[in-house]
Amino acid sequence: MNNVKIRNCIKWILVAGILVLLAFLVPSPAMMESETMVRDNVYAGSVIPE
Amino acid sequence: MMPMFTLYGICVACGTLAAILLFCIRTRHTPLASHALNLVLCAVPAGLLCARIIYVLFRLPFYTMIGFEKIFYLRSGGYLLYGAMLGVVCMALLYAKKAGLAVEAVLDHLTVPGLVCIAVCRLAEGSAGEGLGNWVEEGAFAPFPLAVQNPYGELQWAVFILEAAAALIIVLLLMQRRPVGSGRCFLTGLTLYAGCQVVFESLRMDSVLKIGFVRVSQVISVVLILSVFLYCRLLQNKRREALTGAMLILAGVALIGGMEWALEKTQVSNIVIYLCMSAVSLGLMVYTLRAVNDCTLPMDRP
Repeated sequence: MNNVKIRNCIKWILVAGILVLLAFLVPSPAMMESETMVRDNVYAGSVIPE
Repeated sequence: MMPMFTLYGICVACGTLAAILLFCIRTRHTPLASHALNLVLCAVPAGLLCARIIYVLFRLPFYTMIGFEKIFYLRSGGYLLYGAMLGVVCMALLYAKKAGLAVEAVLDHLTVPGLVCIAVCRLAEGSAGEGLGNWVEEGAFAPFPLAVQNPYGELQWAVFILEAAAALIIVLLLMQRRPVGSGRCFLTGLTLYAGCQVVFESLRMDSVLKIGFVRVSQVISVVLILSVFLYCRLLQNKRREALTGAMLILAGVALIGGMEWALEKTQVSNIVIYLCMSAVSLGLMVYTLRAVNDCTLPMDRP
């Protein structure tokens, strides 16, 4: 019984870790787009990176 | 410099947590109970990965230009929601097969939590200035939550609220449905969601994924509706009806395509066009749902 509880506890910790990773990896769509646009321009040579 | 966490990212994580809790609660008295957390641990990363892969596939020319290593810079670029759905469904299928669970039951139990997660993510889009429709004309009746101010202080129609509301209404409809476990709840949810997205994607004026003038999510929605219809009809060995039905659905899709063209190229009022598009989309949903309800699914058989 204790083993099951410990295993469940570990699984919930893993779930929490995945959720933190998710929050980190998914920035706001507007930001993703602007980042992409900046990069597009940088690669097209129209913006000189500082 | 991009902040470590954004409000949108935190909301997506909260939506996913809400879906996980709902999934665990709804499966606690079923054979799925002991598998719920294992499934979550497999499905969430699979969803994230597939959301990225499908996004990259649709933007392959761009990544060819800037270098394929940028695919792994997960914080820039984007994700596709339908990709996440595909990842979760595929992982659920694999897990159910490996654990000896009924695939239909797993998918049915994932539907409502999945839609709740989608509703939260849609609402969160508003915080990032996304999910907005056309600019509101002066003098138009547009109170909150029908319209919201964009970052420049202009009024735009709040499509993200419509999308979230539609997802929650589908949740309420599906929660009335008993019994869960035949796969019908999943097929119904998928049809209703895809049908709504056909119109909502057209309403959006933000950075939606496009190939030329074609909106990717709109095409995927239509393909999903057609697939559900064909699956139900072919399961009953009604090939002739499947063929005629598919032709009818494709005619509806052509009509929607025509309306998209009319939006861009003609002077016809947008409201009239969107009302017609909603009517056609509703027709597609009702027609497909009839096929879902008429069909005897494998788990319905004694």
